[in-house]
Amino acid sequence: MLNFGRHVNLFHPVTSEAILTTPAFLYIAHNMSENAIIVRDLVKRFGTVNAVDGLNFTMPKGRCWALLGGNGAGKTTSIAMMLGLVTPTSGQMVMLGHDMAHDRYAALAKMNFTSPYVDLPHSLTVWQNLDFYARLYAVPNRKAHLEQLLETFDLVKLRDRPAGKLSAGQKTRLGLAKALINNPQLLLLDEPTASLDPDTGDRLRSALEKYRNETQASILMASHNMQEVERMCDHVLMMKTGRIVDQGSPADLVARYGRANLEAVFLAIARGEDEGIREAQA
Amino acid sequence: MSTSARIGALVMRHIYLLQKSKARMVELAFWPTFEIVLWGFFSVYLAQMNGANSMAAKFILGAAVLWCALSRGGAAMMISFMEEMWSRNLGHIFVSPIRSWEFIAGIIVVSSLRTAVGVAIAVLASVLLFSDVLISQGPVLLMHFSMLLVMSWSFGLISMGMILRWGNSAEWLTWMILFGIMPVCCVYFPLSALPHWLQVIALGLPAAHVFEGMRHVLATGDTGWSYLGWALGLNIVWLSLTFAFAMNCLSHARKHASLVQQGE
Repeated sequence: MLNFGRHVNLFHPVTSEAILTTPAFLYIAHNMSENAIIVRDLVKRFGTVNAVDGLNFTMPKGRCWALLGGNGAGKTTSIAMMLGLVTPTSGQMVMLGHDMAHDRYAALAKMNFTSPYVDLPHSLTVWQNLDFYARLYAVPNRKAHLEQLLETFDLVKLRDRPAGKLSAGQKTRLGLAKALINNPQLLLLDEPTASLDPDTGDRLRSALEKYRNETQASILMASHNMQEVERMCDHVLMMKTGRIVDQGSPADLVARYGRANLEAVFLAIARGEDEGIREAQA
Repeated sequence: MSTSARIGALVMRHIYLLQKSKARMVELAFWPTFEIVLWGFFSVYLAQMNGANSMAAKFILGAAVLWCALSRGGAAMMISFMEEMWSRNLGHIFVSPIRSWEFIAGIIVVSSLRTAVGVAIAVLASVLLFSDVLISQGPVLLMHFSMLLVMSWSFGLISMGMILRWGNSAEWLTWMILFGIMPVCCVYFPLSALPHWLQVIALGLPAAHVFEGMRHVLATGDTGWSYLGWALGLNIVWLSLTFAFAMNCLSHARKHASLVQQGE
């Protein structure tokens, strides 16, 4: 994979003609149109701690990928940087063809996010919450779209209930409805079904799969639910101490590590039992 | 997607919040009315002591009304921002396409509406209870009111920046600043009452010029454009500086990953 280099901004509008016609630029331009996410040499340092330490990956459009890793592996920080909530120490991110350093808002209009750890206003009702975000994203035919979302996420009967009085499962459904409010081409999800009962979790996964099938949207999710990842994701990035230590399809990883399932692979990597496998692979 | 739609969304979010909460609605009008009633009766007492044409009584009532514009404007700006913090909603807002300056503009619009509603009720109470002097000088005092409202935005931007940079613990400090500047704003006494070194500080604040101007209007009936001119110029300087400070603190919050960690 071509490395852009962390000090060269090839996405700046004032790029010389010489650069625009080089094979490197044509390669990148092709990548920008074909890929949902391009992350290069991404570093986030908090004091002496490297929360993210040189992240590199390219996620094609229309795919569902997972970021896996133990607590403190850097998943949430990475997602927050991709959303523009956290400024990277160095590195480059291109989301849906937009360089996040210079063209963040164009990308954000086509993306969305949800996490059970980031609340929606508790005092506002379900309808008011969705209406607020629909206005913020300038959603056309707002009312009809909101009615449809209420229907999809089984929130019709809860439309006038304050978000603070919803159960955990209902809040998660509201969070996902909010995440789909602008029909995003790219969804970033941080543990989207955490603390949900199996039935609610399954319904939400089905809703996400349906959305992805209908729109060809791309999804990147951080999750601790290995069954969820095996079911939904076609590619897994395994993170440890801020770096990607391995990646592949769930089936590929399971086979390569000689384990029964993805959870066993996760444990092997988290406990450092994977060194031999990765060395052999190298 | 237009800027006005995104700012309008923020305004709508706060209207929803007020609709849902009677306590918030009452709070909007309670404090300005309380202050004006309190100082209004004091001005009545002064008038009884010194005669019906006592300037001091008029000055105090005028000062009480105008101080509401500054104190309630600053408080409204801070509360509008804190509502987003308390609901831990900043993360969702800042992953939307809203620009940082649009967010600040939205908070300014919301706080101005809150202040206008609250102070309008309080002014009505003061006119009904105490004096028609505010009506006779209404249009001129409205300009003084506007200058103080703009100064309250600067205070709000400082508060917002401090909370973004130093977290919720800075909230108490911002309240102290809001009421701590009252002496150098020369609300209830003239600039000449301050020692020289404090006068220098006071002259750097738009509020000191506004309150001096208010006393000039009530005493002479003359608009006193020079006071308003100084207040306008200083407001432009303060607003530019505090806007840059708030934007810098927002950038600092992004750098230190505190946007998603802010909350109760």
